[in-house]
Amino acid sequence: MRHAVARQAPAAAETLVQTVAAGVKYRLLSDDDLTLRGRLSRMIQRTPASRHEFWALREVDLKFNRGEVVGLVGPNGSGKSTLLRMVAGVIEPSEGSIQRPARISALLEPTGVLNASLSGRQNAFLYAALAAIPRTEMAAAMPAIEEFAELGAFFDVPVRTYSSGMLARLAFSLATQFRPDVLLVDELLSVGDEHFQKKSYFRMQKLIGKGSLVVVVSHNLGFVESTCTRGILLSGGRVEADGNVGQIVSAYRKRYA
Amino acid sequence: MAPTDTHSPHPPLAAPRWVGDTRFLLSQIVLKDFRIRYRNMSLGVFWSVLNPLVMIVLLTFIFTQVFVSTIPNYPLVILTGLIPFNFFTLAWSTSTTSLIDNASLFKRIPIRSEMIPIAVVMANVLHLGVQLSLLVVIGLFYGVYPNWYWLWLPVLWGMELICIMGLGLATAALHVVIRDIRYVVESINTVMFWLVPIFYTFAMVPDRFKELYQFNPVSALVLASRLVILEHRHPPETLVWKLALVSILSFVCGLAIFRRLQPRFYSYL
Repeated sequence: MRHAVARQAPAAAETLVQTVAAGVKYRLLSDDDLTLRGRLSRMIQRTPASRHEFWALREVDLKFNRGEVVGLVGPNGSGKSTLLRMVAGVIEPSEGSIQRPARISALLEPTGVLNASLSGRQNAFLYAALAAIPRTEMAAAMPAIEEFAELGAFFDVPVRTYSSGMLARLAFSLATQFRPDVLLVDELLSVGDEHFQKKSYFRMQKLIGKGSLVVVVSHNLGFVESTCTRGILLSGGRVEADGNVGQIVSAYRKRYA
Repeated sequence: MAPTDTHSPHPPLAAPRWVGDTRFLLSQIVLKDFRIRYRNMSLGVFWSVLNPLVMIVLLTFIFTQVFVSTIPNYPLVILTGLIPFNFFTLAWSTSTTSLIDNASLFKRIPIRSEMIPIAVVMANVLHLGVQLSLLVVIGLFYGVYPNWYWLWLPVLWGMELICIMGLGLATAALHVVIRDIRYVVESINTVMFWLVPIFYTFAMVPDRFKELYQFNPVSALVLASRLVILEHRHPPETLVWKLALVSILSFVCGLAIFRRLQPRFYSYL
């Protein structure tokens, strides 16, 4: 499969996303940090702000190329999701820098983007507007999205009535319809039945064939091993290992399983 | 695609990376707000009319039966005060909480978060349209007909919108960092109910406060609307300039505060 991908990719190693010594710092905020009372009492007592900081990522130097399928593995809290968010552009690095292309399609916890009160169709339009997809392009793609998601009559019913599998199908269908340069997938494909997993696998292959970069975060190591061409092992916010997916997965298994 | 200087210690934050159709995005956020607000209301938009209608009936009763007022066309006077006030309070308070209400969106999709408070202010324009049509209907009932001076109304309302967007940007960003801000906004709105000439007229305001009143963007709009609608006159030039000045100042400051706090949003939400 890796060879097939290498052959299909138009430009062999065009870098789409590059991070240089990138780090992401979160502030850990207590309730006192968020209220006027907390801030005032701190000012009066002259206690410094409770600046608990947490570096979710540190010194990350990575290059992601066109046509790659990268699997991020690592234990909980190792920075996988933060890395994905930084690539998606919802977090800017607190130190270092990142370059990324304009059209990134991210499936970060898809249930969070879909609005429970809107129908599948209404959500599709909202998603398109958010994801910088032109209205006309969205309208033209609607039948294809509807068909791929296999929601039947549910497509026009509020999303709050959906099962988790239906949510995942709608989200996947939306995110993969528009041939993004970069597709980010966060723990998604583990949802859905075998039929849909197979379908989504084929669609991902098609996107890779078209030259997209796909980055996957998953605890499903079997899935990572069978889908990805490259693996990155994260630990404590740092890149521990980067390379052939088979070696990365076995390194991860050896250390944490 | 905006390549950043790879060695800069402070990468530009919130670089213009969202390249979508702004009008499409705004219209979708507006629609979303509208659909959600009216999803479980069988009377739907009718509530936008009912609420001010109840207020007019109430205030008209009080001021024609209890405190007898000699102001002519009193229900129209109330309505020209109430509509701008209602719009201001609703638009400002909903945009104040808009970032928190929509956190799930911009924590997952890289859009410019400025769009959210701005779109939420615009979502309220739909109600405004309904309420203004109520004003026209009641006006016709009292023999007040549309005239050419009404062309001032879109200009005045445009400035009011810019002003509220500025306030909304500022308080929405501040509310992310300090969660008491929405209550501060609510209190200011309560104060505004009395400080804006809703059930009294501008002529009743003591002379020494008149100048100051004109700097209140809601009062300025009420005053100008009454001149245009009820007295068929141009709003005074100084009043228009004051409203423009306050609106632009509000927008510029609001955007500056928003941009300043923007890098913190992710951690605070």
